Amino acid sequence: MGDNRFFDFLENKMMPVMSRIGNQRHLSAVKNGMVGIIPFTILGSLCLILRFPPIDPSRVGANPNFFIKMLLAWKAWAEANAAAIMMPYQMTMALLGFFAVVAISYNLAKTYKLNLLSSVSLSVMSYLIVSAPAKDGTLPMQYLDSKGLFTAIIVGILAVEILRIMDERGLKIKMPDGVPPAVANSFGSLIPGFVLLITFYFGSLIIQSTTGMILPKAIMAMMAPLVSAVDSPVAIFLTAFLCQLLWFAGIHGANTVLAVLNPFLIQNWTTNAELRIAGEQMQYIFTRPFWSYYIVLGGSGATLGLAFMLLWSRSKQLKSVGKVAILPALFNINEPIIFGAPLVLNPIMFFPFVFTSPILGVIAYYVTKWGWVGKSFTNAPWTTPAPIGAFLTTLDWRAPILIVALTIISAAIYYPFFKAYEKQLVEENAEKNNSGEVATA
Amino acid sequence: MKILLTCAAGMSTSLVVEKMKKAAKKRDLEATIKAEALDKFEDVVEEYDVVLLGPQIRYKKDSFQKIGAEHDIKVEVIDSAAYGMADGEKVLDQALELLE
Repeated sequence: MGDNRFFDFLENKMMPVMSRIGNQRHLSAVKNGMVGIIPFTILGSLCLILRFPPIDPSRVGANPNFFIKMLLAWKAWAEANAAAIMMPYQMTMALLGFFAVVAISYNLAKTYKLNLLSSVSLSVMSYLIVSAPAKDGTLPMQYLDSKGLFTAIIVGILAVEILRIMDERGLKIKMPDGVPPAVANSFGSLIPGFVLLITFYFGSLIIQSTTGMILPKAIMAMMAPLVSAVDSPVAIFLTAFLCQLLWFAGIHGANTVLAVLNPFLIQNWTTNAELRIAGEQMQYIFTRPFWSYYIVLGGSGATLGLAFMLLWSRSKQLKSVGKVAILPALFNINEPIIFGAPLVLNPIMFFPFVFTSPILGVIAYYVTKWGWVGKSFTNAPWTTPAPIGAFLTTLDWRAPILIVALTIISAAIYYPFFKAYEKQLVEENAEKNNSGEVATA
Repeated sequence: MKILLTCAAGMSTSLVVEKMKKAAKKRDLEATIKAEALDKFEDVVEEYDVVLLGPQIRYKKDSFQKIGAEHDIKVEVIDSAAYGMADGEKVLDQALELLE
């Protein structure tokens, strides 16, 4: 088979690239930064869930049942107390860019072994200077939320890099020998702080005077074409395909693909939340929950349906994998299937393992686009069972139905390949047993 | 004896860790076994005697081995079949072999 050359390519060409990407410090800092802001997105999402009960009063019939009445009462309560319910949201998700710059600068400064406290606080200062110039005793919050996410990435990296260069060159105020070290240190961060202040303040002023926009707005305008390109069936298919191709080689694909994709996916659903709060139409389809529950349904490669097939398999080997795999699969963890079945470098399973996720993604894209299922605007941990996760993140009863449909579709795609593989294993096993009997006879 | 298992989020390795703990108990082995996400590796590596990586992050092996070597700690990738079956006995064996 020509497979060997393909496997060689995966192992010898893709691995080194992966290794370089996986060890790239800025990408890692951004990736870990995005992990660092998850708690805030979940806290904010709790408010959103309270604020938007899954009911539309205009669609309720003349004689609502008890359950519907409860939802209506919840809705009335949420409308009356909207500001109070959303207060914690304002301090979490509405400050996502702020928390992102903390997490990113922290993670990057750590790789350089810089002083963490001063690196983070100076990065925050730089970020606030460009994103929220104070006026009349208040900080404008408009660009401190997810609209400031890309700014947080750029400022966080830039500020820490400037600090690193100064640290390496030893640009500090040198005190005469007799000065106690503690006193000398207290002046230590003065020059770096001053340099960052000047750089970002004047940089911000120049951008404002040339473009007429504050820096985060200018960055958003610059990123707009890319953001809309990402929110498309083509991007969904390609990113899911790339992720799965890496997984086929036995490498954690999502860890690399999401490192680049996550800022977009987070910004998309948080922007949806902002629009929903403002009472406007939500805009984005391809979000982080979309990835977690529709594309990697039951784990990378959308193996939830396959997990059940394994459990009921005629092959002893596959059945025992199914037993280990089924519970984690409900929580979207499927390494037992990937390495146990295995799907990795298994030519028979190549097609379903690599293409099921992209296909499900494109289907879910159109189902959402046509309005059959609502867009996601909250976040839940990616390990939440898919039907529950999909419901909590869209607050739409039809989302769990979509999950069931996608599970069936994924099972149908896997089925013929699974059967062929099962047959091969059963036959191999029979042969082994036969030859064993011959040998003992 | 302290064994660290690490993967992308520390989720799937935690499955294996539970099985390893059982295996260690059966053998009356005094062992601390934990799972962590790979970005915690550098912070916690010093506390362990041996580190095992999930096969899906084997592209991290070289850089982690380098860091491990600084602290005289062996770092190796878990056999993928044993990992897939969450075979605690086999993975524990692998850790013990590395410690010899």
